[in-house]
Amino acid sequence: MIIVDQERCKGCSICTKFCPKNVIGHSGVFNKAGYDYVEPQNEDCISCGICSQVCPEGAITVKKEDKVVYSRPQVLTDSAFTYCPGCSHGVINRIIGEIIDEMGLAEETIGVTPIGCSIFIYKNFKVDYVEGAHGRAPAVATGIKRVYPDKFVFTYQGDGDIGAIGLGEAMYAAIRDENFTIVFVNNGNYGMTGGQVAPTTLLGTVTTTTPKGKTVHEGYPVRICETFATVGSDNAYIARGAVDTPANIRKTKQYIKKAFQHQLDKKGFSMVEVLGACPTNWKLDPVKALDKITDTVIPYFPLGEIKVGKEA
Amino acid sequence: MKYTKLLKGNHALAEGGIAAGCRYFFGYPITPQSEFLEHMAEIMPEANGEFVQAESEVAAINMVIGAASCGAKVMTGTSGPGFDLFHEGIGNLHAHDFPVVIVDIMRGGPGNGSLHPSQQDYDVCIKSRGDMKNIVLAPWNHQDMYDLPNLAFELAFKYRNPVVIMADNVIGQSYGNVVMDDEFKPTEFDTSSWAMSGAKGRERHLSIAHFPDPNVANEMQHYKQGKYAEMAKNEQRSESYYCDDDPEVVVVAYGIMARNSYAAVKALREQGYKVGLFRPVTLFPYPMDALNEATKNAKHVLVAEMSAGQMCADIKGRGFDKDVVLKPGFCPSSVPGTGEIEAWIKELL
Repeated sequence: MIIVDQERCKGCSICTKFCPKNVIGHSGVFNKAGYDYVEPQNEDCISCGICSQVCPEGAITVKKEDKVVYSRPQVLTDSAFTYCPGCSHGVINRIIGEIIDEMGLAEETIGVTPIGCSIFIYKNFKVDYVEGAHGRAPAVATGIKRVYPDKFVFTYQGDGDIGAIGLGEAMYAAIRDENFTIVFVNNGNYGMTGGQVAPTTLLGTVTTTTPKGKTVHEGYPVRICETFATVGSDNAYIARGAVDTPANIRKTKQYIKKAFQHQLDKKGFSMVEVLGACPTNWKLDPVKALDKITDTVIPYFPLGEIKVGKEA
Repeated sequence: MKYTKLLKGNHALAEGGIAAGCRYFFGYPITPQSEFLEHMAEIMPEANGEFVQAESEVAAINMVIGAASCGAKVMTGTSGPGFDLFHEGIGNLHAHDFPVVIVDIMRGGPGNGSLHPSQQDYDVCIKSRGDMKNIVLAPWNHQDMYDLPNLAFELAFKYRNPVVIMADNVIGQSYGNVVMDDEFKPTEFDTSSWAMSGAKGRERHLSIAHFPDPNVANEMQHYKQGKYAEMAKNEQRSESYYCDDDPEVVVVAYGIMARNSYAAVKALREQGYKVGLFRPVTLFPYPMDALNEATKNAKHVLVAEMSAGQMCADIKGRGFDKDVVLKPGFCPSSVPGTGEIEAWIKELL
């Protein structure tokens, strides 16, 4: 059975797309924030947990008999995520939270925020957090890691942050083989500032600064992982996942977990890119935005482990 | 044990930093501060510290932010063009209230500028966007280059504020005698209430650098201005020379201009002229009380600085009500010599 936190739910419908038994549907009732939250519509739930895995709000607890199968990670704060409905940041925050719980890292973690929508991660985790300037999180993390080589340090960045203004700081973290982890979300635009063209925006895409579609004059879409894989240590860990399907979410979680372990084992630089959706600026409903990742984004940004050294 | 060593000014800074307990340095090469960076690279590992030559000044100052966020004693250094790039990070240091010590060995501006001596970084070293102020210390000899890093850390941690040691390339790149003390024990500061270390057995420490809540933003601005008022009350530092007998002319100068002015004033005193020198050590907070005292009966006040009057405008802006003569009135490409300064003073006598 599932229990929906009605006040957290933003009615994005992603759970309804993936529920294999068509258990979940909209309630037709609006919560305090004004969203038509979802609820179980029948007794067919098999407690598979998929709805909870794809939920960007961490709003669904799944139980099998009396046992909790999936629930909100302990390391997350109680405050609701402030991302737009259907934004992939929520899912990615949640899986990072699950990993921190599973690996017991909460008391050892120092996180560094970027600027952009990804900054809001600091609100969501009960761990020490420092805010960096736009693009500079890897430099800040370098300073922290030099003071505390045994603490767990990670940055969480967006594609504009890491691929444009902060390309130098991020790439030099890889070149110096800094022993921290970068998780960055590629949703192909500058979300917070209103959907401008980003280094990872696919050619032809209409954005607020490419009203006729992105051309090569704005730059070819940058494959950050492949680029970073050509520099630094041969033993770095670099992978790209996506959150368009439950299977890809599970794989992405494995990649991030491996990256975190890579750091804990003091093996040097690790980075995971996550392809996510920005339904608001893509001007698509959350479910169609995930389809766009599957159909359009993944073919250009292939998923998988891009650099796994012999010792990684 | 105390001993004397002949040191390049930039090397004395590094030695002074290590003596003050600095164990983290992040920097980028730029003339005329590179010997500071190089000497840190040499002596930091011997002190079991971390030295990183960053990929840019932007990266360096942000690495400094990371180390400072952990409560570590951290330094960086640059010259004018690099200081321009530091400003983003310095703004964030103010937003975070992190203590750091930054060195600026000045060169001429604008742009990539010149390698000539200069005192043109006065305003940019003091001011940071958002009405923020750095504490600024102005060394005038090699002993200062060794001693001021410790004072800088004391002030940085006391006020949780960036401190800039602003020197010119003449002092940075020349040699002088420095008395060192290998038994000196610097202060260890308790940073446990705010520094990052992992939220073990305590609530998490969160340091953000933006202020979306209008009430928080207002509180922060009041807190900052209150802090600067406290600094002005407690931390004004200066030296006055030949100012006890109401000299007719008082020269106001810092750094290399203070050194040459001292020689000029001394020479004129030996010729029987009643002239004095006032030398600010803290450029922010500016030692206005001592300036007013040193110049209270002076007929003329001569500000000798290698800029188009940045310090002069600063003291005027702080309510200094005597007429001031500014010399040379611009930044010449070489330091005005003692004879030149004597001539400026004699014009007023």
